[in-house]
Amino acid sequence: MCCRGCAAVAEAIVGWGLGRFYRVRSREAPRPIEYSPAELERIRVFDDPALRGRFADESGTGLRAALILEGIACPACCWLIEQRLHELSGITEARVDYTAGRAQVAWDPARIRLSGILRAVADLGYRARPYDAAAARAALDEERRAQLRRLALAGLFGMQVMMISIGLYFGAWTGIEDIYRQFLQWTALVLTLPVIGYSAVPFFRNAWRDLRARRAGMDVPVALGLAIAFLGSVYATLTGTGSVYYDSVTMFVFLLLGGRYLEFKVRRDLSGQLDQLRRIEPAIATRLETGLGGAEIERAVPAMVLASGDRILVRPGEGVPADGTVVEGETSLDESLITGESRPVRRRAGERVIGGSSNMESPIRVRVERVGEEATLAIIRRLADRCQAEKPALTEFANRAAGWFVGGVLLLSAGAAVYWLRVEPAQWLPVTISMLVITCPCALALAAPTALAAATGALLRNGLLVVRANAVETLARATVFAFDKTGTLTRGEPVLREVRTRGARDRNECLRLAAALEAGSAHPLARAILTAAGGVPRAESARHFPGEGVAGTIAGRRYFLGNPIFVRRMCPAAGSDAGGVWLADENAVLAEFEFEDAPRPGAVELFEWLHGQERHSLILSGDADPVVAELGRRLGADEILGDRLPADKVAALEAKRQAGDTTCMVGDGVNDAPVLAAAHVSVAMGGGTDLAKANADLILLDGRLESLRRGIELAGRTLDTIRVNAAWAVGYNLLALPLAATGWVPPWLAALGMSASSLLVTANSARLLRFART
Amino acid sequence: MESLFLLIPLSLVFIGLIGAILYWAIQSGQYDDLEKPGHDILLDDDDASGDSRNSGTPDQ
Repeated sequence: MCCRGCAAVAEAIVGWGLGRFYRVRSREAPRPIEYSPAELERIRVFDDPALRGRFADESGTGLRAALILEGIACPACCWLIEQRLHELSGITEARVDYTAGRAQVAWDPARIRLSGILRAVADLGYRARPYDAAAARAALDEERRAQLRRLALAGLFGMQVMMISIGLYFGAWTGIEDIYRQFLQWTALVLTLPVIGYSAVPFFRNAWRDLRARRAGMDVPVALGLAIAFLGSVYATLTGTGSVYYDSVTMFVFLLLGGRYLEFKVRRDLSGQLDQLRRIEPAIATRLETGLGGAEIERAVPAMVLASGDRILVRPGEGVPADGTVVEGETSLDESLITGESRPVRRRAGERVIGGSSNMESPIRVRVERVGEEATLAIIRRLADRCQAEKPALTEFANRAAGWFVGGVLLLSAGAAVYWLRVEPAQWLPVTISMLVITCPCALALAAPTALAAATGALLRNGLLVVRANAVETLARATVFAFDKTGTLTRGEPVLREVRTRGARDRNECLRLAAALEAGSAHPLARAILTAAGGVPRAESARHFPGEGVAGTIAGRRYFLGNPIFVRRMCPAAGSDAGGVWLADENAVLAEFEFEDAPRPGAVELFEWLHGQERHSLILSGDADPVVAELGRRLGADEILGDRLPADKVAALEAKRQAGDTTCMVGDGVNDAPVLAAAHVSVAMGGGTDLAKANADLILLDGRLESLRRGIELAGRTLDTIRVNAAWAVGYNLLALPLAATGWVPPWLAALGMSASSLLVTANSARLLRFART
Repeated sequence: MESLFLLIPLSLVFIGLIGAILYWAIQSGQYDDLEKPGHDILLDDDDASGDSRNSGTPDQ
C-alpha cells in the first residue's frame, strides 16, 4: 500500500467483507459455471442484510439491485436471462440491458435470496454479480482480456492459414503434385483447429444457447456457416476431393471477433460518462473532531463512515466526499461532472455543496448533510442505472425484427443449398456459407442501442440526465412544448425592472441610496437592488424592520426604504400610490422601485428556436394572468395559459394529446409532478436537491435552458442516426442476400461485408458522442 | 521441395511459441491499458511530491 488513502480504501472494502474480491478472480470457465465452495460462500455474502444496502434498494414490497453480467454476446443472451429470471418465483421484475452489460432485478426477499438469483444466472452460463464499481471494472477487464486472447489467436493462426492457402491457390493454377497439395491442406487444417476450437467458441456457445431456447439468434447463422465451411473442408481434406475453405473460416472468425472487440470497446466508452460519475467520489475524507481540551483535530476516515452532522475539511484539489453546507471559508467548486456546468461555481458559508464536486481554490469546512444512498451523486447514479436497464421500444422492435429476419435467412439458405446441389453441386457449399455469413443481422440489432447509449452520454455532458429509456426518442418527436413559469422560465428571484423617480434626485442616485441602505441584507429584493447598483458604501446605523423595510442614515440624512405602508409611517408626507418598494427621505418620497421575475437567460432563444422548428410553445402557469401574459409576450410563446390549477394544466395537456400532438412538459420536478406525468415526455428542472422526488423522464441538472435546447437538438439527431443505421442495415441485407444466393459473393467477401456493416453502424452512433457543449 | 516437410512443421512450432508468448502477454496485463504507460514515463519523477502531500495528512 502506497499511502494512507489506499489504506483507508482497503480497510473499508475488507470491512464490508468484500476482501474476497481480491482473491477470487473469474476465469474462462466451462459451462455451466460450477461454483467452487469458496465462490458459493462469496455469493452468500450478498445475502447479509447488513451488507445488502450497498447493492440493493428497498422498493415497495421488495428489493431491487443492478447486476453486472459477464458473457453477454448479443441481445439474445439478454432475452434468455430475462426469461429465466421471470420463471423464478419471487422475482417481480427482471430487465437486462445489452449495451451496459447489466441487469436490473427486483425481488421479494422472503421468497428468494440474491444468491439464488445469481445462481440461476450462472446456471445459464453467464456470470452475474451485484453492481459494485470495483467489481465492475474487474469483470470488464477480464472480459476484455478473453476477447483479446481469442482475437490474437485467430489473427495469428489466420495469417498462417492464409499463407498456406496462397500456396494452394498457386498450385491449383500452375499444377501441384497431390502429395504436396494434401500436405498443405493438412497443415491448414491443423492451423485452423485452434481457431475453431478456441476463438470461435463463443459463436457456437451462443448459437447453442439460442437453439435450446428455441429462438433464432444472430449467432445461429454464423455458427452454422462456420460449421458447414469447416466440416466441408475437413471432408475435402480427408477424401482428397473438392476445395477447402480454411482461409475463409479463419478470416471470418478474425473479422467477427475484431468487430465484436471494437463494439465492446465503443460500448465501454459510451458508458464511460456514467462511469466517471462513479469514480469521482473521493474514498477518504478529513473529519474534524473535537479532541482533548476542546482542540480541533483532523482525522482521515473512509468516506462511507461519514454521518450526517459530521464536520469535514475539504482542501483545494480534493473532492467533496458528501453533500453538505459550507460552515466556514469560501471557494470555487468544479461541479461539471455532476451538473454539466463547465464554469466553476462560487460557494460561501451557508451555501450547499454537492458530493463529488472538486474544490479548486481554498480550504472549506463543510457540515455533512446527506451521505450514501441519499446523496445527490448516488441518486443521479441510480436514476441513470435504472434508465440504462430499461429497454426502449425502438430496441425491442429491432430485436424482434432481427429474430424474424434470422428465421427467414435460415429458410432461404436451406432453399438455396438445395437448389445449388441439384443445379451445380460444386457451388452449393460456398453459396450457403456466403448466405449464412453475409446476412447476420448484427447491424440491425445494434442500430438503436448504440445510438441511444451514445446520446445518453452526450446529453449528460450537456447537463441533461436521461432517466427513462424512451425519453430520448419521445423528446425528439415532441411537437408541443409546455413550460411552467416560476422556477422554469423565470428564476423565481426578483430583478429590479424600473426605478421611477418622484423628486429632484436622478435614478442612479436613488439606486445608490437604496443599495447603501440594503448593503449586507440577504432579502431577495435587497439582493436585486444590490445587483443592479453594483458596489456602494454602507449606510450608517441601518435598522431593519423585518417584513417592512429599512431605515438608515447616509451623509447625515435619514432615509427609508420599504413597502408603501412602512414608508408612509416613517414619512407622513408621502402620498398614497401604487405598490412596489419606496425610497423616501424625511420630507418626501424620492423613488419607486419596481421588480419583476425576469426570464432565465436562454429563454428567449429557446422560444425563438422552437418557433423556427415549427414546434408549438405553450406556457402553463398558476400565476395571475397579466403577469404570465406579459412574460409570454416577451418570450414570443405561441399560446399562453395563466391562472391554471394543476388539474387545469393536466387537462390542457390532455387536450393537446387528444389532438394528436406529442407533448413535452418542462417544469419543477416536485410541485408539477402530476402535470409532468400527464405529458408524453417530461423534463424537470434539477435544483440538485430534489432529484429523488423528481418524477420526470429527463432532468435538467444545470438548470440552463440553453442545455435543454441543445438536448432537444441532440435527441433529434439521435433519432436521425437510428433511422440511418436501420436503413443502412436493412438495405445492406436486402442487397447482399440475393447476391450471395446467386453465387456472386465468395465466402471471404461475405465475412468482410458483414463485419464492415456492423462497424459502420457502431461508428455512426459514436459520432453522437462528439456532440458536446460548445 | 522435400524441404517443405521439415520447414512447415518447424514453422508450426514457432507459431505455437509465438502464440504462447502472446497469451502470456495478454494474461499479464500488457494490453490492459494502452494509454497510461506512455504517460507514466513522463510523470515518473512527479510521484514523489504527490506522495508527500498525502502522507502529510495529520492523523492524531
